[in-house]
Amino acid sequence: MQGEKINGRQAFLLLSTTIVATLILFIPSLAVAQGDRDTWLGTLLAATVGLVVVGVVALLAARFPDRNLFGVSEKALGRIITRGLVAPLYFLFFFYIAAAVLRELGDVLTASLMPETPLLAFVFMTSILVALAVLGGLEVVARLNEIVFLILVTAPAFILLLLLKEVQFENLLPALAGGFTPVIRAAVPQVGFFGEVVVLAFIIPQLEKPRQAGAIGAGAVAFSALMMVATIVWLVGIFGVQQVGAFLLPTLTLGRQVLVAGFLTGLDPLVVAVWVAGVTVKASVFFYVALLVVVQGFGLREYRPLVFPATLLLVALSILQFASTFEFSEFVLKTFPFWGLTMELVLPVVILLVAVLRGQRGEEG
Amino acid sequence: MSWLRDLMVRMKYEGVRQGKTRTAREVYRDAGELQGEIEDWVRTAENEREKDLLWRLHQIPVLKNLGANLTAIKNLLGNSGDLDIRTFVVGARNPVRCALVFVEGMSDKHVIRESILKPLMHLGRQEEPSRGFSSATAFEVIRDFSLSAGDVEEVRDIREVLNSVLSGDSALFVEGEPRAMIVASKGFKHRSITEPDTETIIRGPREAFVEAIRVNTSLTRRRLKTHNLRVDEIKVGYLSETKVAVLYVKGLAQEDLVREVKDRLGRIQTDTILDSGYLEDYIEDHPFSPFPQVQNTERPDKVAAALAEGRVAILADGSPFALIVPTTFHMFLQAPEDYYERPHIAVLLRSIRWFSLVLALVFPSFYVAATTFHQEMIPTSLALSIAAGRQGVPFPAVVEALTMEVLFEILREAGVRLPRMIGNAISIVGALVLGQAAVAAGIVSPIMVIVVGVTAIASFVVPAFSAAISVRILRFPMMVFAASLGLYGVMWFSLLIMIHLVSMRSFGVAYLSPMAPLQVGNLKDFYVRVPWWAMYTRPKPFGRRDPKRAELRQKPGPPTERP
Repeated sequence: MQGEKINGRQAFLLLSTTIVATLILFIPSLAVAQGDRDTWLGTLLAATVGLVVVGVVALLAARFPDRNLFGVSEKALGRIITRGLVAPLYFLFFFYIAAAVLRELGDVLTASLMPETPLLAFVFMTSILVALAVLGGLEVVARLNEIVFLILVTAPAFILLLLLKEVQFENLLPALAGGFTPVIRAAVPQVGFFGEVVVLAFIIPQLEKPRQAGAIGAGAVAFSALMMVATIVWLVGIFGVQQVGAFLLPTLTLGRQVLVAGFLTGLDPLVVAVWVAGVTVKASVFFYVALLVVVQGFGLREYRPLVFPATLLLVALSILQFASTFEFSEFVLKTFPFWGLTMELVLPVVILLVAVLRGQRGEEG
Repeated sequence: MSWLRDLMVRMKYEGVRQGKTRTAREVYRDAGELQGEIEDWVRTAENEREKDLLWRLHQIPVLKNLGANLTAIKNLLGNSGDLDIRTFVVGARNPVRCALVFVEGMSDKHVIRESILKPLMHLGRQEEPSRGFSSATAFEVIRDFSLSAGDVEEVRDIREVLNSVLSGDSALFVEGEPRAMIVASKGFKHRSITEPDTETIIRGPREAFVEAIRVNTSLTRRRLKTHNLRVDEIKVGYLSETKVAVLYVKGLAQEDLVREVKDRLGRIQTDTILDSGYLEDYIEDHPFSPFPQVQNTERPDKVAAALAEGRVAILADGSPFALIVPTTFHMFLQAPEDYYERPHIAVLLRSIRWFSLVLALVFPSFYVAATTFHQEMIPTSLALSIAAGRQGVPFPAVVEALTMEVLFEILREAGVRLPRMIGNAISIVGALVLGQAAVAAGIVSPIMVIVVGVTAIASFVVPAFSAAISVRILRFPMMVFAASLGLYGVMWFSLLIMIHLVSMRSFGVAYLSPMAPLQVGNLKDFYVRVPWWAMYTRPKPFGRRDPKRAELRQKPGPPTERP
């Protein structure tokens, strides 16, 4: 498992997909409801917080190129605290997100494409893909993503380009009419997603050049911010603030608006299909990292025997964790930003600080 | 007795196991009076263990007694009708009996008559010493002075004699000499070199491999005259004793790749290898994958190109198809013409091939998903005409699609197996019955016929037949998923295929490279084919040992200064 290596480009693409996949579809309406015209500024603010997380990861990678966050924690905080507290916390976090991602996928599919198919069908089917990808290992996930990323980027780019003439940029003005409060409010639901770049801290030893971690993470955050800002600007520019906040999945509505070559329209199923690919990759990444934490926490050698039972748990959790889509929105709005930041920023900073204060370094550092 | 150890190692390598051939004792049983001589020979063994081994190994020594040797050969071959034994006498003063053994049909009669028998018959007039030939001098004089054949080899084992004789060479025995001479006289009828049937092109070389491995290696060597071209042969199959040649350019192909190929071939233990397809089954990395992992071709130019990239080719005697490893998926979408025509058209053709591949895989499923679940995706006017066409059709779209695709497969299979004249009839009947009548009778909607037709044509675009097969197989489960889960089902199955493809390797090279993992340098020959002067590096995974293939800055143009 430790023998697997991915190169810088693969890691960058992997993180970009991880951040963008869930951010772009579900979050705009929540964010716009909070931030009105200044939502895109909120995105930039959230991305800045993401960059801070990247900075922490880069410092970790520079000090301990041969260890991931768990390994650093074991050195800095000691085995007992790490295995008894840090590992379970991170496992819960990553596993919960993986399940939530699957749940979101099921919710979107039942809401938009196939209202009569039970949620379980989608969650279960996708979990099979996730399990197979994770069984293949990080290399397989990274390579899968190299293909998925192509369609995941070209499809939105295509849609945005085709809708360019409909965008009324006046809808974004006046900027900062309500002061900075809307900006901060808009940043809140997004910040946890940009912070997801913290998974990089867990795969540092698997990078071909661990010292590139900072550049990789910064690139991924910047790219995701670009995609998100473009989406929000287009949404607000086309539909106006009021409507976007009212839509459940405004990005899909955007897809529905497209008219290709004068006859092809209503492409939202296609958008969803492309998005499914991205979400599968994202769930795989989080599932993989969650299993990695378990393996390290218990000192196991191989994570593959865990994949099958863990997948069943994943399916069960993702069905049970929310009663409805609205609970999911509540989670994203009220719980995730704080839980997320704790796990993504606070805990790594604490671990890094202790390591620095104790003057510890990695073997090659 | 180091030769004994060598012999044992070699036999083990050739996969010959005990019990498959008869022992020396059995072979010579009929020539009873020779028991003593064999026992003499066995007595040369140093200890009991070696003695035992000598008896039990399939080593059958050539004896001094000519008649015994001939009896042994006749016994082993069971008096085969095509075995020819010509006995004659050399020398006048002290006549020495000799015998020439060859298999009719495998050997070249002309060579035997003109280069072997004729000089032997005239031997003795000048060279014969005054006291006549002893058997040893006869042997040496024949070997050194009188044979005008190309290749002469000395052997001391009847098994080796048989091997050579059965592959077309002649064996010469001399009375009183415990050794035989193998004289090269191979020459059997083979199909003449024709145009490739399965890989036709408009521009470029038109030679194709034939069944004879010697012809095939010569076709390859004619294209790569470097002394570094290696042709390493082993024999596979204890009944067929098929010659299998591993071709590579030394210094280009990676050592461990060549070793791995030889290892995998050497591990094969079976009775017959009738085609290189048998080998493919034994050496591929993922035997249960629907995707082919070994490229096969009947074009020597394709093999030469692969060898020049640092890859390894495998030829099997009796098969006009060479195998090329390692193989990545995009190689199945390259046609030789991409390289012989100017580069621009290759860009267009390759994108068309990729598009067709995807189309052949998903188009019927897409139709099923769109008509069953996502009608809103279909433009209104098109939806209306589809609905009009489907009016009166008693089946749901998926049943219609599956039936038509299966019928098409039946039609295609019938057309392939039938003689050409009846094949035409089949296609007419198929087109009329399936296309016209079924639509007119309201059993199938016209749009479905179009879908099936487009899918079929698209699957023909893929240059490699073996890659088209996998798409043909996979579109059936794809349709089932499309019918049950709509576009999500199509995407789900596509992702499943993608996960499978990215986890595959062919001889250590990622199957989807240079797409995943992305290798920017190799994209020069992927969607596009850059001009030859710009393709100055070999593709990375296999050509790493000597990456430079052409000099830089060879871009042609009009002369900049006038003379």
